[in-house]
Amino acid sequence: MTPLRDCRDTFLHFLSDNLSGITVHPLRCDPNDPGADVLMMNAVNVQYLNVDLETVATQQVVIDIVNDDENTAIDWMTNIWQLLRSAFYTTLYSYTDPSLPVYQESNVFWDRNAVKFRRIVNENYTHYSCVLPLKFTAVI
Amino acid sequence: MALSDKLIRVADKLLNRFDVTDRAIYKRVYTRTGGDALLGRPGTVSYVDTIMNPQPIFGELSFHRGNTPRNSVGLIDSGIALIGDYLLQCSPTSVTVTELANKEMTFIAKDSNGNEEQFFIVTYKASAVNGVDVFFTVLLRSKSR
Repeated sequence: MTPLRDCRDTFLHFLSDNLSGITVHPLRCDPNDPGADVLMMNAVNVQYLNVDLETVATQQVVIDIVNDDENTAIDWMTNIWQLLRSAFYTTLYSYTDPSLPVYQESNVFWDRNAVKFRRIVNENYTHYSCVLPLKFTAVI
Repeated sequence: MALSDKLIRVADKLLNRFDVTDRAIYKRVYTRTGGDALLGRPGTVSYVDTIMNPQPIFGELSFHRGNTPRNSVGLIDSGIALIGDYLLQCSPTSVTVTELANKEMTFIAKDSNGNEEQFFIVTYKASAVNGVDVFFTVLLRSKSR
């Protein structure tokens, strides 16, 4: 399995496994699910953007908090900020067999001081967005 | 017999008389075991095809007026229709709202040679009488686009 895929899978699980009671919705193109690349209401949406493949590679991730209750959105944003501030890395795993993640003897890093959310104004729901570069070792 | 039941029976009889295409339409329901939906890893995938009975009205959408192509997109209920999309109209006897809402269900068109074309559901609309669905209109998009 490729380090890039491992990085994406690891970060998704890091958020999903540690944000108790919050739906984490990954955005991706899926031929079997036309709704998979659409923002989900009342969820923390995660989408991967630009990639810079070097020995120390960068995978850009955008976290979009979308909720029709502003107070809930604020609480979720606080939870995510606290989670990403509590550490600056998580252990890299391969999820080729999702039931048996395999440690890859490496980590996924982020700048815990760069977790900043901006408001995207919408009259029907509350939307906060954070773009965060993830760093990992890409051995090709 | 309720009016809705009568309408469904009439529609079923009429649908069986249509011979719109040389392809038979099936419902395919996928079952995924293991895997991880969060990561988009499907695990073990299997499916079951069930032929629709009665067969639906099924055809490609036309964006032409006479010989002149008009718009390249259109609006069907809440779905945006594109050139190359298909419209499927069927009875609740052959498919239920629960099945239409199941994202693991798709429609398959099979010809007599066994060739298949798979479609996913863009949107669907139910026509109801006295609160009972009597007809469905489904906008389909081919996966072979």
